[in-house]
Amino acid sequence: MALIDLSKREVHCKIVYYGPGRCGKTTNLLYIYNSMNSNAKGKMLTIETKGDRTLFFDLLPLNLGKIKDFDIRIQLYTVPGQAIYEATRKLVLKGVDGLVFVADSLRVRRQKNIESLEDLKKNLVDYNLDIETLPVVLQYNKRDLAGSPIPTLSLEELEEDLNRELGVTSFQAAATKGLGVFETLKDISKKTVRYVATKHLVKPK
Amino acid sequence: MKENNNIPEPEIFTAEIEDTIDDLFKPSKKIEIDPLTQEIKELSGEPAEAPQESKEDSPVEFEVSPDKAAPAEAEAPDGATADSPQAQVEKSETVLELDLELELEEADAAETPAGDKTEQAAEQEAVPEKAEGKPAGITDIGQRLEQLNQQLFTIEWEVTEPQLHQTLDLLGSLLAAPEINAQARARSILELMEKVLLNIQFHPEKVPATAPSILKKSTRHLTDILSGKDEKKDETENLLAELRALIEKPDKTTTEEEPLFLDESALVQEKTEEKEEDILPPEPPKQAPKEAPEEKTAVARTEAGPALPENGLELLRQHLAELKKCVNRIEPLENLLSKTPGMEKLYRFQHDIRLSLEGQISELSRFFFKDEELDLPEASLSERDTEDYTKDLSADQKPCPWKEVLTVNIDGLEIGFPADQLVYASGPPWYAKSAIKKAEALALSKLKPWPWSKLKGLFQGRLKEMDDSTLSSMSFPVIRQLGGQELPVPASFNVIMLFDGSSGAVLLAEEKPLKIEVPGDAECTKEQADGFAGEINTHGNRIRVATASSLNKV
Amino acid sequence: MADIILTGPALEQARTQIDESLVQAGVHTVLLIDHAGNVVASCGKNRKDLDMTSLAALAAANFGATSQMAKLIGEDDFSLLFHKGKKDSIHFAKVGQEMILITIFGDEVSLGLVRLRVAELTSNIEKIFGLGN
Repeated sequence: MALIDLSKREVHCKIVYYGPGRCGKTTNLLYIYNSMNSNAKGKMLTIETKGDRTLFFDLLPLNLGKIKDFDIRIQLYTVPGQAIYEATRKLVLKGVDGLVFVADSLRVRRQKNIESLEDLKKNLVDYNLDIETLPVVLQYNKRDLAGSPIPTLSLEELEEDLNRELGVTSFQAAATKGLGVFETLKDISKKTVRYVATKHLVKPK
Repeated sequence: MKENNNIPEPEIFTAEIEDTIDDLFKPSKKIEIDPLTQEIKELSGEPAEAPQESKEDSPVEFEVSPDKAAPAEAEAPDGATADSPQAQVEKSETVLELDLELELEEADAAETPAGDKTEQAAEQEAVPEKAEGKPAGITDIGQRLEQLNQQLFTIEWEVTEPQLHQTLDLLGSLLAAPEINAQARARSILELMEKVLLNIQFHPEKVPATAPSILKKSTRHLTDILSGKDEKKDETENLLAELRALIEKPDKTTTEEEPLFLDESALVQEKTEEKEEDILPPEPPKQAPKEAPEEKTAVARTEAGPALPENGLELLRQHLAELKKCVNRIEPLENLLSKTPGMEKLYRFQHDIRLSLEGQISELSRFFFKDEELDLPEASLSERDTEDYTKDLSADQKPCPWKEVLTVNIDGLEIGFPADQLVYASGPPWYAKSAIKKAEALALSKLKPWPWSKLKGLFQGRLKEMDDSTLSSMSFPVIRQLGGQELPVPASFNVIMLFDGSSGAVLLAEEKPLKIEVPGDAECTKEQADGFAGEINTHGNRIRVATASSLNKV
Repeated sequence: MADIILTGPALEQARTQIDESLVQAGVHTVLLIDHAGNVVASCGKNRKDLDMTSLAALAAANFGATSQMAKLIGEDDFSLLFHKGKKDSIHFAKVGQEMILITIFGDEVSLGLVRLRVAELTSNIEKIFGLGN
């Protein structure tokens, strides 16, 4: 749910990185935060936990600055991926404007990818949102393991499992190395801001 | 500025947004994140971007295209005003930690909310100015009632001593107001409110959870009464009944409708904790209230303890006696186990049970009976006799007879002694300090801080089982020489008193005893020499052990 | 969940009310945020040390989490929430279904006063923005 402050001429959008546990959602944000060196980023918020898993959410605020006198702000969130954090995931998803579904290329995580996507769809329905209308992109992470001895899913398998019905743009990525991270971010940001701005600032009331 | 909700040229707008995104959302340096530790490593070279956009099903080889990499900025800090270069960024830097306590805290007495006080003080100061105008008096009462309402809203969520005091003061000032005195109903309500608050202060466990909302309701009703807005007389009656219900005792042993406790001296004493590692004698009993107020209720109570029905106290005495019997039965068994090879675990098991039982007896006695002497059964002679088995062990006998040893250091000399022989370890009473320093022997009665206090309560271990009259006739030698050397008395010292059931001894040491665990494989020798009873050797450490009886043979 | 669209006059009115009711009473900072964690309005001291973005995001998440907990135990909601700190405390209150009012105050302001003023304020703000239950 975007917040549009017409007095301050601000547009706030929320993009959530979703996916099963350990697929690389937080890594995406960490990479963006640590490699981006501009005033466009705010301070990254991570709720400190004992381990390295996201417990609640991570937040990275980004600011595009003024465009046509409007301040465009994008907030990137990640959700905790583990199954037990379902309620928290749903909370973080509240008010989402754009989604990045990060899938894990490891073959052992195949079922988890599918379950997580189903979980996402269900949560969106509860918020009266439609995954078909919201801006969504897919990211197939950990592609750098594709040539290694570790069994990985092929792109066809990933597309078949996750993108058969959605038919959205997908990106290959290796978030630890930054590959595909900014491509994903740029694409989803453009789509989300376009979606939000078009809805409220372009059509007459 | 007239708000223009519409963008005139949407295509240009979106194009601009996309250009900005392309400009801003790109890496300026090449980094790598360790997948296991999440550590950020900066790499040399230009940041790489992989053009990956695919909707097709055809397999695409994953590859990095360095050609399309955006040029990295040479020096990171130049462009950044808000951000500093993050060469070695640690995850912790980005963490926002909240340092809020979620539990209710009791503010210190010193930290009274100054704002409220100044508000109240201002109000009170304002009273004399307004005293002459009649409407002003009512307004003043109105203000005070509003203040009371506010206080109750605070107390509902946060009960602290300062808040309660303030509220009670406010109630007191309202009760003293002539406008309130003129109205019997208002006075009754306020008096009952005062009693409820006192119960909240001194016996919160007996106040129902509905109390704050009933108190707030009472405040509203008072406002109505004083402004003449209350219409139904039975509304007041109902409210008074509700208030009374808050302070009536739930059980049936009293028939009178009186508040439970209004006497401050009837406060429940706080439990003093005894630490295991640092064995201290129990605190000298706190000064008992001088006069127990005459009680009209049928409830039996001890001098300063909480009220219990008469049969409840008797029942408790019986339970305590039973507990003591258990302790008496355990003790000899424990001693026997301590000397039996292979029984270390069982010994520890029994020992812990006994300590726990003794702790329970001590706590309950102090809590409910304060200074009253309880007639708890002492160990019978036959039970005591089992200790004799263990007294004369030959020097070569293994395992180590001393399982739990405490040590003190006197002028560089490390002295160990059996933990169960310690009966007192504390600083001397100030008035007896210089006398003890010079004395050859220390009479136990010298340690008594007040004339009316019981000696028994000062000690632990075997001395605790003896009655006051016996204790006050006992004295133990103060050991001035040990291990062939003189023991100097430090300027500030603790009295360490040992007693094994028949003989006792006193050492004066700067520090309180420290407990050490004697491992099962420790080698012990029993050899009487220069006041020591033997020594323990374990892992290269040598501890010379003294006992009450060996010290008496110096 | 509808998008929130704010207009200048409504915001100004809300800010004035907040100012008169709470800031004048001595509270440090008041934030009006939405459930997604965006700051709608902020009043009071301009605290440079306060990361409002993060605070708003966390507050919204916190509020959301406690709402879920309430539902789990069969409650409709915990409409009020209060965290006590050593120096400053935070009070949360729902404003309609869409927003949350966060009040940060020190111990010179009584909790009772904050509670009373906030109760009054939330219904006023609801009217201003046309929010309701």
